[in-house]
Amino acid sequence: MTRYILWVLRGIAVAAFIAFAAIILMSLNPLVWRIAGPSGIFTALVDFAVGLRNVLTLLIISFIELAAAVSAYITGFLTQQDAAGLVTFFRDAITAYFQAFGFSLAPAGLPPFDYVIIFLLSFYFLSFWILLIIAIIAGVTSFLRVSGRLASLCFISMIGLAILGAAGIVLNIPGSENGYFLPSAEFIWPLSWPVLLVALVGFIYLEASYQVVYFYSLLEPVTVREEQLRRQITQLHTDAQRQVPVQTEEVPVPKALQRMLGSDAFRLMRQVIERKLLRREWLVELKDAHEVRRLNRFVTRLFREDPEAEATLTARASTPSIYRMTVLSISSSAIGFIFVLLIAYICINPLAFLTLLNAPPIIIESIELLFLPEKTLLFLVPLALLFPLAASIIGYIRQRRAQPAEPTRPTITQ
Amino acid sequence: MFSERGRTVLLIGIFILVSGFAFTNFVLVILGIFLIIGSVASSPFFHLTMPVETLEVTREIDKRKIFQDDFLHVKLIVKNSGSHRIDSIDIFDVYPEIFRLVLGQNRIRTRIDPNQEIKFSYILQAPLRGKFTFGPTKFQIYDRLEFRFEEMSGENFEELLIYPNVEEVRIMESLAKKRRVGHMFGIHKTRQMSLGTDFTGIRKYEVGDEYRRIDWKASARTQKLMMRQYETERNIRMFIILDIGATMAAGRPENSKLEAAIRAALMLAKMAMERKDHVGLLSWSTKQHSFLKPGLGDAHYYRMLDLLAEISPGGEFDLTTAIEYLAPRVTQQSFFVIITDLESNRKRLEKGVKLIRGYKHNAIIVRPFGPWFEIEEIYLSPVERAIGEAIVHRLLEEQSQLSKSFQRVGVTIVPVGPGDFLPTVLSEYLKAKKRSIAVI
Repeated sequence: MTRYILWVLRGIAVAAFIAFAAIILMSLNPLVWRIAGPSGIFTALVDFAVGLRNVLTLLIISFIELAAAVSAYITGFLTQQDAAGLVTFFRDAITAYFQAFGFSLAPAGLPPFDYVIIFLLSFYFLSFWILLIIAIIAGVTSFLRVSGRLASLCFISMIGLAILGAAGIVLNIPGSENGYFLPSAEFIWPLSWPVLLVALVGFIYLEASYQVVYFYSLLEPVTVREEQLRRQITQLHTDAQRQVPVQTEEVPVPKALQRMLGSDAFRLMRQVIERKLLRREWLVELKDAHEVRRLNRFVTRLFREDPEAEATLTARASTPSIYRMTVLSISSSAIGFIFVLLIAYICINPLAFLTLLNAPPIIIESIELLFLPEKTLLFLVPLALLFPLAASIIGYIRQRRAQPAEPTRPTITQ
Repeated sequence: MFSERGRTVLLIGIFILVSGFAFTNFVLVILGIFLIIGSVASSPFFHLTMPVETLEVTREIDKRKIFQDDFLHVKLIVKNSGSHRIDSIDIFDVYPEIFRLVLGQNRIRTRIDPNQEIKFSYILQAPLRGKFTFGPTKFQIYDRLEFRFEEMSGENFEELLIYPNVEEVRIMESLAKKRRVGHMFGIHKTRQMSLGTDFTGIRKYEVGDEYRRIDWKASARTQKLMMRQYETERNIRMFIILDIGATMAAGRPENSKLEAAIRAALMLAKMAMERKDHVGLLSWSTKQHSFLKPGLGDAHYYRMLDLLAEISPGGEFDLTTAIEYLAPRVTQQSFFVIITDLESNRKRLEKGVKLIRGYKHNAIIVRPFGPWFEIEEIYLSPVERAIGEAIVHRLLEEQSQLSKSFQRVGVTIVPVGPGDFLPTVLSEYLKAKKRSIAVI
């Protein structure tokens, strides 16, 4: 039952991941994948490698020029023409050196800054592929291994794609780019508003992933523990029945050694070997078998005398109620969503909130003059700090109220 | 406080928000706000529902005193008596490191509803003698999404006393039960000839013998005066002086000189008490000591077991102060079995031995020989072996000198190793008994 529920939860998280990934990928301009050629990632890699080569060449040449100029300045013997000649000489030498290995340097002609721009662009396009691959690998792995860290990594990668897209103006979510203003100044955000929908799906994906991790961390260990203990006890019963045979076998001694030693010496030697090697191993085995039997007796007696021992050892007694967990988690998440939505609304649309509070016109007018970043931060920062502050005050009061009790150390009595 | 996950989400939120502002993207702005608020919003509720006073923890240990190598069932009951649920709690029960976890686990991750009680247990094996403390129980309480956590400690401690291994004593008792005729009759009587009522045989008359014990029939048969001989069993007063100095603890913990000495002392005491001899105990070093005046009986044996279980090594053994401490407490002649590795101050040892003889006591020194305990089953490189041999040589030389010095006052040193410790101690006791040393 537990495993089925965990699989259902995983399914929900996967669905949220697919939805989030699909929205981000579909919102990105297809040009970013460079799929005009035979293979998008291959083209991106080639462009990146060429760009890197060009920039490195540029760096080497710049270094040589700089070194030549500095040496000319220090020595004072060289004229400007000599320095230029020296640079040309070095450049030719390096070009010849690289060409010998099949490499070519950056083609001359473009201004140096352009090379850097081209390189950065190639890196930009390659980054989409890198982030996509990381997101897919982390998403699938987090689904299989139920890991909060991997879910976070997947989320960061997906968001990275969105940020890259937004930076290059290739992310096309209706209403997102013109939006230092809300769709209208109304009080209620439409749920069909694509901007809100995308943000909500992203948030739900993260929440669902963490919920799965939460359920998994509580339910899976108990199941594993129970299975493990049952296996151990079965093994214990089996091992306790096993008899360790009395060790009578003689250790074979090479004939050559037998011939070398006299019969008495040989017997003595054999005895020493038997005592030192064989007997020691046998004694260890005997002791282990004895311990296993003792443990088996102890466990059998424990289960007989304490009816709940098996349940406590497997921790079955402390398994949370799945039904209750599910109901409470869903309700908590729903309340959390509403709360977060409300705060976000206040931060982004403070005018509506202030109007609702009948704030003086002068305040409303001063807010109206602000742009979105200032407006948002004006409310977001105090609100975000309010919660930790309230938490600290509550924690402090509760700690003060709880008197530190003296630790009780019961001593052993007769 | 923020967990790693909480911090990550908060930082991602800030990053996304700043990116949203930078690239004029409303999706990123809203998502950033969602994450920032989502990561901090539950803080007050988390602290409000923290079970600071309402989490009750009880540890149930099935026995407070067990023998070494025995098993122990530890059950932990945690109750949330508050009105708020705990979404996620990591409970970790601390037990002494030396114990072996055999079955179950000492930690659990679960959730506790209001007024709910959870139970889990585990089985440990106690590999060493001594007094050990269990606890505390530690808690890590998380919120549902693990954005925050707080640590708490249960402050519940339990003490457990582990008696030394009494496998040998059990074997002896088992053998005695099998024989059904008492405990190894015939080998342990302290003979005092011509006294008592147990007839042992006939011998020739010697000058000074009592006439009433002449066997006339035997005399007529042999034409010589023959005497009837009787014997009686006399009990002795024995005192075990145990060196608990730091040097006695060298080697593997479960196979140190001290552990072997304690097992030997216990076996010796058990055997002697079975034969109605009085046995006392003194464990001594510069730091600590425990003293039990000579006595016998089950209660006395268990008291001795308690004292031996609680011994912990430390300091340097000083025989002189030990004897000075004993002198006013043990006034009657006694047989001292001193178990020491003789690795303490030599002059104090010699003085102590002289004091023993000065107080008219008899003594034997049983010496667990260090190298035989410490290098057993350990692989040694040639260099280490050479050093080891040099140490053995030096110790043997010192022992030889000490032996000569002690023998002058009638005290012998018996070196023992892990294998022959028990037989040697018991054999020395039986010899002393036969010689009627320190009879009561």
